[in-house]
Amino acid sequence: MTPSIRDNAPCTDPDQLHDQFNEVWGNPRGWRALTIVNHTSIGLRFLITGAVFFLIGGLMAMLIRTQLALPGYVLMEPEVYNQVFTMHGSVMMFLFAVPMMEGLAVYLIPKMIGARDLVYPRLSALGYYCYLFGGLILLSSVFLGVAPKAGWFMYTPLSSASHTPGVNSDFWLLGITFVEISAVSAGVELVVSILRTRAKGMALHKMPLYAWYILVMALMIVFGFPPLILGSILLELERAAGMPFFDTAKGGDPVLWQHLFWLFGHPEVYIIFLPGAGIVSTLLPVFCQRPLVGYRWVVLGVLTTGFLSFGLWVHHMFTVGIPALALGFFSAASMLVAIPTGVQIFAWIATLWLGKPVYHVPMLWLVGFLIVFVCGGLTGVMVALVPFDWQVHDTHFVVAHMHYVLVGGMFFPLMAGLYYWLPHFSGRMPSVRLGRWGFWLVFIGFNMTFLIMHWTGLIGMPRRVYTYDTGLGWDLPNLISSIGSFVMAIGIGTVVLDIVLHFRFGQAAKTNPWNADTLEWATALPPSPYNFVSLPEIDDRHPLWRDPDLPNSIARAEHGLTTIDHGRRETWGSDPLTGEVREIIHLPGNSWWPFVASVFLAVLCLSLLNKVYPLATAAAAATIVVLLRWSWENGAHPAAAADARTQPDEPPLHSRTFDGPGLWGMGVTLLANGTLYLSLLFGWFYLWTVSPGWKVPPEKELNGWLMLVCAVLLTVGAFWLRLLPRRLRRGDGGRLMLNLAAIAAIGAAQWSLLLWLLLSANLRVTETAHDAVIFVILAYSLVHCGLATILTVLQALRVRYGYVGDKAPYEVVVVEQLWYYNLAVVWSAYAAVVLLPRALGGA
Amino acid sequence: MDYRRTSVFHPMQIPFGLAIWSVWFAAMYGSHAVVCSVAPPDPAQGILNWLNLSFGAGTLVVVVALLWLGRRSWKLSRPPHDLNERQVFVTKVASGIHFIAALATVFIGLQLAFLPPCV
Repeated sequence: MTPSIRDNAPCTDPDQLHDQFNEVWGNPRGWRALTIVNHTSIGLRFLITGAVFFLIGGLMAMLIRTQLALPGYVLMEPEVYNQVFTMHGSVMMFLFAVPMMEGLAVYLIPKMIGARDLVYPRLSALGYYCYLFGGLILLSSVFLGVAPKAGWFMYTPLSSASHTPGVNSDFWLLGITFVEISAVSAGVELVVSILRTRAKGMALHKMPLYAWYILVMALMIVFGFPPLILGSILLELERAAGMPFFDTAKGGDPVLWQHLFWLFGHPEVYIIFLPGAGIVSTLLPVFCQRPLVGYRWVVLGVLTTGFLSFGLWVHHMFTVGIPALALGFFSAASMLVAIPTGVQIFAWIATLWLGKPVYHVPMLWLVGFLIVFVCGGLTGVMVALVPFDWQVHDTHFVVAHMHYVLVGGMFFPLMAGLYYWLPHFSGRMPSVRLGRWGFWLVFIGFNMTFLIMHWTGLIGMPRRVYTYDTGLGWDLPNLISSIGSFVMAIGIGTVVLDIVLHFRFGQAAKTNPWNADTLEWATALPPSPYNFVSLPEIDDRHPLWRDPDLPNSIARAEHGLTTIDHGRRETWGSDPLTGEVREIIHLPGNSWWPFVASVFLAVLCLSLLNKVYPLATAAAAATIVVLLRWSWENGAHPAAAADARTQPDEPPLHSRTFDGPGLWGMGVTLLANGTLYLSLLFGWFYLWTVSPGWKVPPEKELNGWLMLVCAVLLTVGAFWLRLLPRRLRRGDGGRLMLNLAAIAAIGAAQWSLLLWLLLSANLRVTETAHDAVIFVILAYSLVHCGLATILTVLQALRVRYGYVGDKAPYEVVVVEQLWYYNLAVVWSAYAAVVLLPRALGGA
Repeated sequence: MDYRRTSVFHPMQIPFGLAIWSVWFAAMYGSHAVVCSVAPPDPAQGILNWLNLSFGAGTLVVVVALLWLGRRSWKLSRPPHDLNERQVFVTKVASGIHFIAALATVFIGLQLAFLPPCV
């Protein structure tokens, strides 16, 4: 499998090269701007959309504080108030905090690691449109007067059809799930990009700390979001189809929702905080003009925080009635997580101590972060203590703590980062005077609002009450909090004004204006769509401090991968540990497919919301067709990389190897998918062992033998498929199409049997949670086995067209992973719903 | 330079300690819930019952394993082993992660010495 070598040398004239790169990477204008996929544009769109959602969420906060400013004051009736506080939390968490941090990472990561784009640019675009449309659908409920009103964590049974019969909860469940497609796709993309597209020589220990933080955050999204996606699907199935997963009378359990929600919800706090901390670890060294103290310790702290954060979710459920020993486990883990966070804080303080800090506007926000976040962390340790939590649970103390952690840990660093990277977005420097005013107003207003709110909570004011009587001691603290919130709002307005004005009046930024050390400052300001015309070798954690001329030598095309006359978008594919270059990753260009797919998904979401199921079915089918058509332009397809020739000193194209981003992307996606499936199995065992009203139908008609035959058939197919890459590695591509077609036929037979099993099981899905869960497990298996069969058929077709074969073998190993995954799903489903109930009884 | 996944210098070693901790934590919480539902120990026995003792023994095994793995990585990272910068990074970070995981296991496992199960 030796790639052919190009016989023409690349262009060496920098100006001519930049023009050629712009032809390949350039962004179209007008309607065709909807086809743009490059990370700079998509990242900026995320940031701008997130900022708009933030302002809307902030307006809702102002409404809440106006209502609570005085006792007995009714600006909003309880129904409206419930909608406003639910939407405030939902908008801030799902439409602002996570997408904003992801958007910033989408923008920065390729630039920081010396790549030209993320590995799946079209997935970035799909993620953005899902976020935009999902957010708009969710927000439209406010203007229709049917917004969600059960609180941002949507506890059942309050959010169930019996207590919230309208479409309010459906807006949340469908809209948020739509938005989560965006979060998970960005998570997968960031993990693979960081591991596989770093600059030549940028080994793991040379990686910028921000990339470490984003790597951990992205992995946390991969493992953290699926439980909520599953919970939302189950609750929507309960509301729309009457499947009683959370209905105690039919064997369900509302506490299962709490577990699924907080399995996501607590890691979510760190998903928001870690990128914020990453910004701090990036900016502090720049404004102290010295490397961060304890690089290794910080990496240790980040990794530990990421892991421990998955062992804390029950601390949101201390008052539910869980045995004391289990509470003890989670209480201890909740206190423990303060240690790795503390390690990072000490590293930051030591850097401040040893450096020569310069208090530009970004530094003010960093200092504000340190003060506010440490206070939030301390009250976090307080509420980790079970007896204290019992006292303050559901009071304003918890609301204040949460805002100290989230605003301190996310908003303050984000503002520092936005000010710091403003020259990147505009090519201009921010104003010092307005920037300082903005910071101080926000800092003072924030503390007036939320420091006092701790006190309001300690003297007993519960959260989510729409008004209160006078004489309870809550009048003054509420008034101060409300005044503080308006001061904060004026501060936000000042910052917005400053940012808007700087586009017109800001001084032009020079190259690397803050004397920073990281590679994103080696691009032009604002950057070109391809970031770097030549890709440098990096062997230092602080490349721009080591070689201040690097931006110029990159622009003069003095480094690698400068060939562009082939018309492909390319970046290095590097080894995850060493950063040594292994292959050239060719990236897809602008396309309508992501936009079209997201439009169909939006139609699916809206038709489910309006219960127009035939349209929903058609939209789902259309989405699948579009996604499959999108996947067709890959590998050796003329629109991807028909010509595999490279320069003599360059490695092969990734599609001509057995490795590449698709392989890694499939792996990471299956990790997310597996987490969703494990959450489903968790739900099955949870209801089986814990639900007080668990019911097993007297006559079970699920055919265990038929399921066993399905599993065996799938095993035969998977092991047959396993043989094909081995033969391809030997350069033997003979009868590949025939083999793939035969395997697809086995898949089709197995899928048909699985469908028969599901239809013949006569499951009473609306009568017992038992049958409803079995239905979902079987339906999940059916969907995945069907997908594997379709992809195998497509592979056979692609062999016929010459897009896959011994010269372009790598797609087969990508599909192979899905077959193994299905193998694990079907066998574990067989064990969970057939073998174990027979062995143990009770299910 | 390629490393096998089982090599002590492979980056998979870095999160390995906390992965062990995660499995231990999930097993403790999950099996506690299942045992309390199926065969809860007599509350009158207090902390000295078969469940706490089994959990304690399991915890001890995990802690010893984590400490051993941490010590192995630490010793590898120091002379006389002549490692390159990347290998030192992997072994030192992996060692730290193993020790932190051991600390987390001990701290959370200590609850077994104070609290009876299932009540």
